[in-house]
Amino acid sequence: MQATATSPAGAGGTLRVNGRDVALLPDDDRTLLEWLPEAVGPVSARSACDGAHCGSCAVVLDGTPVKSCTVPVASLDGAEMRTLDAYQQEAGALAPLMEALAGPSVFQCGYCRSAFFFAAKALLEETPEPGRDDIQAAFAGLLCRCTGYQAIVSAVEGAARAMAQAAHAPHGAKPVPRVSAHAPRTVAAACAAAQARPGAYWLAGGQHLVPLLQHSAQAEPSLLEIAGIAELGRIEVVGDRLFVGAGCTHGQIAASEPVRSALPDLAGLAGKVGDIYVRARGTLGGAMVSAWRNGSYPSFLMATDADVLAAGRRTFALDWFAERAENRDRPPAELILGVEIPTHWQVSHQAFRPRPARPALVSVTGARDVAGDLRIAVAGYGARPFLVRDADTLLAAARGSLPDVELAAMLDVLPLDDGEASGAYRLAILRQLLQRLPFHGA
Amino acid sequence: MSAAAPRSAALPDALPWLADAYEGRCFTADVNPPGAVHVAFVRSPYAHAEIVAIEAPAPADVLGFWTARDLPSHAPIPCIVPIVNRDGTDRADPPHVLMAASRCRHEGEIVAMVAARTQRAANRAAAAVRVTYRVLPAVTDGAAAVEAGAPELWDEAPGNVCFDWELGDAAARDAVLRGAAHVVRRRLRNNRLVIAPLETRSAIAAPVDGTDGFVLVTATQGANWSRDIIARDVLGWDPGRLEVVTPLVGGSFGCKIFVYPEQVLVLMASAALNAAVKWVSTRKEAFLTDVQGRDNHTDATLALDADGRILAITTDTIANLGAHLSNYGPFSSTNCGTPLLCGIYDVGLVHARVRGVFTNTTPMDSYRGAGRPEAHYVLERMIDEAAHELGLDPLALRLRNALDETQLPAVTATGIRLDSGMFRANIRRAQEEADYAGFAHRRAASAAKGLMRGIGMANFLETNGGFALAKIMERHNGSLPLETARIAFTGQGRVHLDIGTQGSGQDHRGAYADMLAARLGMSPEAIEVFQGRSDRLRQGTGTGGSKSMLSGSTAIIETAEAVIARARAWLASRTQRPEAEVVWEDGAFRLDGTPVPLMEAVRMAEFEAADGHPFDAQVTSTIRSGTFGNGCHVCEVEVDPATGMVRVDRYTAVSDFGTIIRMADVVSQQEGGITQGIGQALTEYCRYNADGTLATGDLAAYHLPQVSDIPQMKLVFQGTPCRTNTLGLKGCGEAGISASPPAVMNALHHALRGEVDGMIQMPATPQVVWAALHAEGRR
Ligand code: FES
Repeated sequence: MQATATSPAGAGGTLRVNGRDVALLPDDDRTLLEWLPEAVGPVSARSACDGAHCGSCAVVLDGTPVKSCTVPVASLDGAEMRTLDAYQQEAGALAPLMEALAGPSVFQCGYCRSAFFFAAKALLEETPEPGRDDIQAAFAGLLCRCTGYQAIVSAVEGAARAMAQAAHAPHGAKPVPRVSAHAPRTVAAACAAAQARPGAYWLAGGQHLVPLLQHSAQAEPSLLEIAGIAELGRIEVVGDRLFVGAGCTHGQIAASEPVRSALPDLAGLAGKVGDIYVRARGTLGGAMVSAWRNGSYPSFLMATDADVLAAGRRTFALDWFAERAENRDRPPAELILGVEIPTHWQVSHQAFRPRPARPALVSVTGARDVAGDLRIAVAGYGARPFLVRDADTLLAAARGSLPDVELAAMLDVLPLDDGEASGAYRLAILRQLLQRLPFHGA
Repeated sequence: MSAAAPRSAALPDALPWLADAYEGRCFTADVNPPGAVHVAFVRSPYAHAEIVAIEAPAPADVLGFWTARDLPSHAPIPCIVPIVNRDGTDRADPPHVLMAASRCRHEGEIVAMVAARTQRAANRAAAAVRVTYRVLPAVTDGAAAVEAGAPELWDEAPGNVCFDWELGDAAARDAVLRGAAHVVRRRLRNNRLVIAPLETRSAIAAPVDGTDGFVLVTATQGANWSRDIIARDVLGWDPGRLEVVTPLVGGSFGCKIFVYPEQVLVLMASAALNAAVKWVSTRKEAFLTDVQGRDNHTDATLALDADGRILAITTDTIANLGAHLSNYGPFSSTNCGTPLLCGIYDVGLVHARVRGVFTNTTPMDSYRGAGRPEAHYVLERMIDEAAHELGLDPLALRLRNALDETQLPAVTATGIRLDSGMFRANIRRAQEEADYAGFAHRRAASAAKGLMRGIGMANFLETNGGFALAKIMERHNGSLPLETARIAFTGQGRVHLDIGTQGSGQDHRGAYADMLAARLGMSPEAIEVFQGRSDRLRQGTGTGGSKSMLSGSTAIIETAEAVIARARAWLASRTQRPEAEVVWEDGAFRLDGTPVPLMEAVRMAEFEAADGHPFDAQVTSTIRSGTFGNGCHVCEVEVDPATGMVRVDRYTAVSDFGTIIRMADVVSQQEGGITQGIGQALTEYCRYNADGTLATGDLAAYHLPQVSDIPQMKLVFQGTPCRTNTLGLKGCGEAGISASPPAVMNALHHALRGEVDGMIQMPATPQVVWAALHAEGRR
């Protein structure tokens, strides 16, 4: 990649790799994946997809499973990481997992091994006794080209049983996120740093940003690390509103008690964002900035009339996404702090995701308040997410026998018609999703 | 029989950074020669364009820069497959050039190469090279390429036709079709597939100090073969000047068999700069330049008599070859695949016409199965279509036509000599294991959830052994396939086994060690297996066509016999008795009843020869008969009519692979192959933009199968040992992918019977299935 993260003058600090301190170079603009073999020699984290899809480059970084292609190495001063090689030397409590995965023909070429090992490790830490479905879900989106996956699933299933019986199952301790010493700790400090470096990108989880920058021709954009700002990691209910900090990962949102009780469908959708690595590191803020046309959050935040809080301003989600749609290639001027979602709604989020761990083709959120007022927002159908003008009428029409053309005419938005899906198909899916909303039409 | 020591045993001494690659301990990209220069390629962003001008970068920014004009003299990369057209002429042979000189014929074709100190600097320099193009209209679909007015790629191939080939007798075909009670015709599409092993291609070339030789570290499926093509055929060198070392390979499935321009260009750069030069492909480059597979349009006809006996199958296929001829380019669609159009059935007549056509797409070549999956797809889909049209049960129609075990050995209409097989038994067993009896119940349960359920069957017959290829490679190694093994005793009870076959992820080495250990009466732990190094064996055919266990075992067994013969002679002379009194029995020699294990004799004879051990042996074996793995797959799918989503719910495969050496490996090969076939049937979709560029050029847009696409499979093995090889084994690596696409698609059509008009072509993505269910006038 061609980005530089700033570090204090002088040395770039050290990164602990498989128990050994390795010096970092100042202003190193490589990803962790690029850096590793050059700095420490061949490791089992491997480059395969160039797009943060497959997981072959996975490592564990300060306790969090990550795809090393999404991490700028310059942000890692003081961090501790391990590749699969470390566990091959010394598996500790994970010995049964290592052993099971080393079984005959569980893998063939083994190029993908890290993807599945670290996903399984993360799963077993959360869910010590996973069912087959849990393991499949943890492996969603990860790629192996040689096997049929099921032998890997079976191996993890067997290891989980063995580990559950052992007294020292390795779950419990939650990783503490670590931040470079020089990274700002407050919003004010971050904003001041940004002023000093116009055009810099905010670096949170890096899930979209780092692969994006790596492929862009843009010369050396600089990165401002914001993972150290505690305020951005907050989730709390204030009166009848839920605040979710922009720095919260999808995994945190999915597991958060306040979210689950106030807006269970938000937890549900966060739990389906990307794959297990994306959920461990990718943040709400990152999703808000990249604002994919068919992303998971836009319809939810638009239907629930959420506010987007940025440093120095408050915007309706509706306006935020409209703005972002225009400026997707540019970082937002201000630091995004989080979203504030009214909780008085009964909300239902419905998505059609033909490929697990990949973006939904179309998603719909319906939100109804006690007075019966209904709002519906749609993503993935048109060129950008939108709020439906007359939700009650549309819902009734979708449930009735209104022909597709007339249903389409009720929406002000033309369906996208591209190689991925025809407009007619998107409309049919939208109709399905609308029908699944548990509200009675007007 | 000679046990010559490896030619350049000193290679790793000369190049210490080579050690890990040499021992097969790492992947190519892990190899980092100190001070290596990196190259990057300037590639055409257009599918079809003339190069108007290329602006060289400032010399200060690069270590080297080459366009087609700057390359030393060389020949194009050869296509080794001759094809004689129906009219007796030879196929067109346009040159597979290393770089486009004046015209680019597919997106990603190389226009220039730059060298720099780091990969990043090389990439940047390549991105900065300014090339002026004049864009030409492009054609990407094979059927469109033969239409009048289509853009043409090569003067040598008017109408884009490279060859127009046929198998069988057209007059006999017409007579059978005229007399048949039923003639069923369909057009079938075998979709283009991106092979996409997770490890991308790469190459590292370096001069060997003090010699005029070079070493090339690169993924291949046969180091010797690649070496010969690159050194002898393209560079015009004495092949001895080049050693090819293939370390671990992260999957290949066919695509790393072939010689690519980058491997040669990296060598040229290394020679020009007198330095080690490294290149590792990005995924984007892989999507644009690794050979791709399948991509046929086939008009198929099945002729049946009044009793539902298949009289003939005939096909008229347009096979997309891409923009250039890859090494085996025309092979899959012709000699490799079409002889299997009769499958396991007693079919009176086969006729196939194949037109190979050029398009502005990535060159095509053998992807796992190489034409056999294409043939099985046509045949097994046609049987279901015929059953439907005739109102017959597809399973019964298969049973009626399958060759009976009592008819074996038999020769098929296409000349294949089958020694053994369990064709009908496979079908019956599959019927039972897949629980056909319970299907109606399961279908009702699906219907209650608003889902449609279907069950589909497909049989397969494999022809493994490399015979079709050996025949056309006559020029290189005689008309029968060869394979070489070398056994060396290296002291301290260790044995080195060199073998000319080459795994690319599948664990051949373990199976070989087991095999040899059993033959020599020793423990497999003492055996180290080497593969993928042209310097250690003079001959080696490599891997391809699911033949490694066959050819590898043949060579290993014959070499082990040579070792035992040498040891026996030595023991006899040492103990001064006739050789006949030295008996080899149960893994040990017997001298007057006293057992002497081979390794004991090895120890006794140590230090007797200055060079190596007196028992060392190397044998090049001839593979005289192929193997015919066979089996029957049953797939059950559930379709959501609202979204068009197809879920493979149950999958059963009954296989006859003869004697199985390592069950876990065979299971993994089966599952991996079936999985890739499910990907072809349901998820893998290569789409092009109107200008001919690839719209699905990354793993976000091109959907490889994920874990959720694949059910837990029921794999049943019932084998009749092959009668023509010592171990009784049969090839299995490509079997899964031959049967799974038709099994899935037959199940899908069964689920949708009566609900859609016409046929659904692969890949049956949700959108495709939904569109068929909601076509005008339906629903
Ligand atoms: S084992 Fe080869 S990619 Fe997974």
